[in-house]
Amino acid sequence: MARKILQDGESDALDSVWSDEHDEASGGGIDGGEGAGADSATGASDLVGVESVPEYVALSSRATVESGGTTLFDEYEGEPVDADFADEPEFFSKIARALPRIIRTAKKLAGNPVIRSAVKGLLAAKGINLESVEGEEGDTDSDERLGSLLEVVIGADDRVRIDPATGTPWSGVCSLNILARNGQRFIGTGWMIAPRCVITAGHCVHIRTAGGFPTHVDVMPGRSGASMPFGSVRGTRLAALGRWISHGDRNFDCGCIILPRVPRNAAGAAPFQFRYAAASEAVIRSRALNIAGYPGDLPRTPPPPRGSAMYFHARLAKAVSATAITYDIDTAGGQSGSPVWHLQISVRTALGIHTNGSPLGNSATRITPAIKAQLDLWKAAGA
Amino acid sequence: MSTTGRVHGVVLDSRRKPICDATVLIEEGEGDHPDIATLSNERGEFTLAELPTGAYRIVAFSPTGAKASADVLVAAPDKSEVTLMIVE
Repeated sequence: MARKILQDGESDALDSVWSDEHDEASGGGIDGGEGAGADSATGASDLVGVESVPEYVALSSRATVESGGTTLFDEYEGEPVDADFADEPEFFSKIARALPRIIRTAKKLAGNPVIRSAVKGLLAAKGINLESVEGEEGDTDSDERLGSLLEVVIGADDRVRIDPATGTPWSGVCSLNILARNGQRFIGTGWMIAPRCVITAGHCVHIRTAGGFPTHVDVMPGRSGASMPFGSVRGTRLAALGRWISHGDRNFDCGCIILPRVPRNAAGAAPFQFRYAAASEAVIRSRALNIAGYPGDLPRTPPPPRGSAMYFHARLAKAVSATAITYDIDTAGGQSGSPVWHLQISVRTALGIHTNGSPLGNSATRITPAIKAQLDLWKAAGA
Repeated sequence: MSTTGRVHGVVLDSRRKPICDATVLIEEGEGDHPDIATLSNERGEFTLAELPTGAYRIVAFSPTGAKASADVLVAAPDKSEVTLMIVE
């Protein structure tokens, strides 16, 4: 396995530390050791060559690594490689009931240049480029295109309740109830990338001021208030990045929960699984970023209790740094760990993990090539 | 690494009895803070940590939906104390 791949300074940081291998008392378990090989059974990793990781769907075939140890950011092209995620129409439930009529109307309106121009202007005022949510040139699948448009237009208005949250991609977004080692309880958000692997913020799975790795995290995919269509699965096998554990470094605020079993609904189906990619700044800025999670300040008029209902919002990126994505998408405490994704046609690709709130812009840990390589390992551990 | 502090508080009802399971989070703040929420314990207590120094507005929601908020100044590495009284 090739090793000289990651950017300078990232190698130590991307040692993954597992809750059941970490001795909090001694502060150990984060050394990782360059000599140790990746353990595909447990997902425990040290330095992992990016080229050893299978190229993920929606990535271009461009090499991710240049010789000499320089890591390039992949540019995913957004073109669906296969159609397995495109078979489930995704709209909000209320809209879904009126969908046939909406589609017929939209088809007519979309062809009207005056209407089209007006919609473009309205969206531009909201900071949304209509072209970014439309299909490729020549795409005739208007239903899919409408689905793309709806997801962004509705999100641009304000945070929108997702109820029920059983469709694509909502079922892949998970409510998290966290019991810290010191007895304190937190609420957060995660998202599925494999049948048993949930990605979240590092500060949801390792809370330094509350005893380190939590006792457990209850994971509820697609939760909507009291409705938990996939049940609640208790995760005790947790992982965070060494740099987050040792330094609380915001740039490495990323973690995972490996579930003991696959969450399934009454029909036996598993939740949606997000794709993810390390994208260039240009790609990140090219279209609206979508976020869904469980904000602690909503709904305004319970029931259900605050923090138990899924909300969605979307905006363009405000700033993109080497390790973070900043945006004006509305978020609140409880949404840490939410997926930040792009939608093109029917492919949803996560580009970041929401972690922070700030008056200067809320932000996500950017999925860099190194973070992506770690996610690949965690995904394998939760396959 | 930035210098951070924490807020420890208690959520009470109008009779000054602790409210358990109140959802507590940062409504506004100067610093770039973790976007996580916490729940008060049976004594109504909570802690929000890893907060960069600065002014914050902490908000608490009772399980029935009533709300209270308070402004607090976080000065690392001190622990700031706040009481949130929710009138149902």
